[in-house]
Amino acid sequence: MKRCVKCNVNVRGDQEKCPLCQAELTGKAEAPLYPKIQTIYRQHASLLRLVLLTSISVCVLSAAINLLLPGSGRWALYVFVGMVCFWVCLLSGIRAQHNIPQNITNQSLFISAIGLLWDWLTGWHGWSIDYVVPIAFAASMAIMAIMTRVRKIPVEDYIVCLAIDAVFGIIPLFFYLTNRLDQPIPSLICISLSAISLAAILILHWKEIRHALERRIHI
Amino acid sequence: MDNAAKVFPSSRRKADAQVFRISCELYECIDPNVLQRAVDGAIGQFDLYRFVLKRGWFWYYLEDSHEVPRVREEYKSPCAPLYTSGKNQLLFEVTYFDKRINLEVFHALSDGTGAVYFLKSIVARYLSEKHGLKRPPDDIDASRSQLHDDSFLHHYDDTVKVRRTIEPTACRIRGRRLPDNRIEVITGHMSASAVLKQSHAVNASLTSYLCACFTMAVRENMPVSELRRPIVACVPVNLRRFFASGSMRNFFNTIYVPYQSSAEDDLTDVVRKINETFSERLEPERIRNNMNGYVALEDNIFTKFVPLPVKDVVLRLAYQVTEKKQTYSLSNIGMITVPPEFEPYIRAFDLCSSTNQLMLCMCSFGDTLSLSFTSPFINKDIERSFFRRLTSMGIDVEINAGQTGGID
Repeated sequence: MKRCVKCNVNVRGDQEKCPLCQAELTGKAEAPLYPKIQTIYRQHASLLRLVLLTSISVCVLSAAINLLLPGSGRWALYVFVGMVCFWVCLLSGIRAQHNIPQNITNQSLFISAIGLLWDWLTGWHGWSIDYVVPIAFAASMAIMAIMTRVRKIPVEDYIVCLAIDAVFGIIPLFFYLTNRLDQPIPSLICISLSAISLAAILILHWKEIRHALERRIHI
Repeated sequence: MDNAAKVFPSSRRKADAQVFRISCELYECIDPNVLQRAVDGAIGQFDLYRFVLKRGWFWYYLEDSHEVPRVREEYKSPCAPLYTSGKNQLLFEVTYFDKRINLEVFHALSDGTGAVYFLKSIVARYLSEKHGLKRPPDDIDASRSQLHDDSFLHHYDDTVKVRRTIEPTACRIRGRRLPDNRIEVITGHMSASAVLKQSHAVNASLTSYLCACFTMAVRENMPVSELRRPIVACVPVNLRRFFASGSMRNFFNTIYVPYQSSAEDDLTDVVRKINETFSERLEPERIRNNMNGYVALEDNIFTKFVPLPVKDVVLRLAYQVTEKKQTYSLSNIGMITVPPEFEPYIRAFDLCSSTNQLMLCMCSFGDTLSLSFTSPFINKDIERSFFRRLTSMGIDVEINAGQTGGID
């Protein structure tokens, strides 16, 4: 066993210097008591920083070019808004990376919201409520159904998300009934799909839904 | 989740993972296959440890999972984070290295006392299988519902009017921190009876005595200007001493033990003052009041309806405010006993915990008293002063310290 004569303590393991006063130890080394751990360089943190730097450069460059060519309209603003939307989706995707059903639900909500925003900013042509919203929700329900089968996620984990998706799928119904749609087909498909899913969930999984909601909403 | 546990998931930071570790050192190298079977058996008995943490809309909650714990050789630094938001992972981990079994637990699941039951069960199963001994019945007498009991709610008395006290700001330990939010552990083993002799000579309990030694070490290494504020020890108190409970979950509250520095005080004076403060703060009525105060916060109708993301932010800020009221933490989980047939195989038990400041954890097994300092600071002067004080009293101390790896 090694010894530090300054601190008057015995030191186990194979240290060369005293952990308390950093003086040199005398005596024989023993087997180490802790493994040597190497810190892992955080690769994804640096990738994210690279993407952030690229996004900022693109925004700055497009602003500069737009200012040089004032006649071409304010397209730099669209680039900027596009970047923000991209980052919102990316960050929420990373945050929910371990929870696939939550991630799919969040992304479909963001895509619909961004679609509505884009449509409104470009003078409202109605394509967002005709196409983007119903397709996003219908796709997310379909993807979730497939993914949960493929990955064998237990029912309790995705049941609430599926229910939320089905409920949100009724939003195209509102647009349909208030005659705002120019192209009703995608919305009708989405509405039917969500109505059938909702009925299926409620009939087949009512107990699990109630159980999961009770725990989530517990105060 | 119990009252104490509700704070932990929100107050987790990169700098403080809220994880603690209890280790059992044997005299022989660990056999991983036997250890795996021991863990499987212990988890069958204490199924609380199979629970995972989930986010509700108003609170976090624990849910039974189908996860199977896997035993691994120690591969990360002590008390590294065990809970990633959103991931379905177990809140504890069993690792081994050479002759030592480690149990690391996320504090939301259980406190030190609860985790000791679990580790003792693992060690008992391991040693019985390895050495062909008959496993004696566990020394816990509690049903499954008693083990899972939320003892805070059980003993909460909502008719008692709560008196809240404002604690003063404490003097803070400052210094350069280790990179990457790492913490270093320095453990000292010594004879428990030798230290008890010293503490009884000045009519103090072991905890008060060591708290005084720690406070003296802090005083010696603190700039004078900082010492106008009191040196405050934050000490978790096991509420099972005051209320009947067989719960394996959290059942503790923390008390503050302040000491206002005075240059004329020597160790005997400091011990006397701190011992008095301990006796005062450990009065059952005061403890009861404290506990009721914490549960009352949770029982409030306004608190209940605040959504979880807001709670996360508020609790994290509240936690940072309470950090300003303490200089260091000191935790003593007391004596750990095992059935006599296992005693010859066990060298020592150790306890350490993640922290953002300096923390001292202690436990004893037989005549071995184990004191572990965890520190995020590069400077180890306080630990040095502490151990040198003990050795100057003629106590033999054996130190072991964690390695710090290189950066790749």
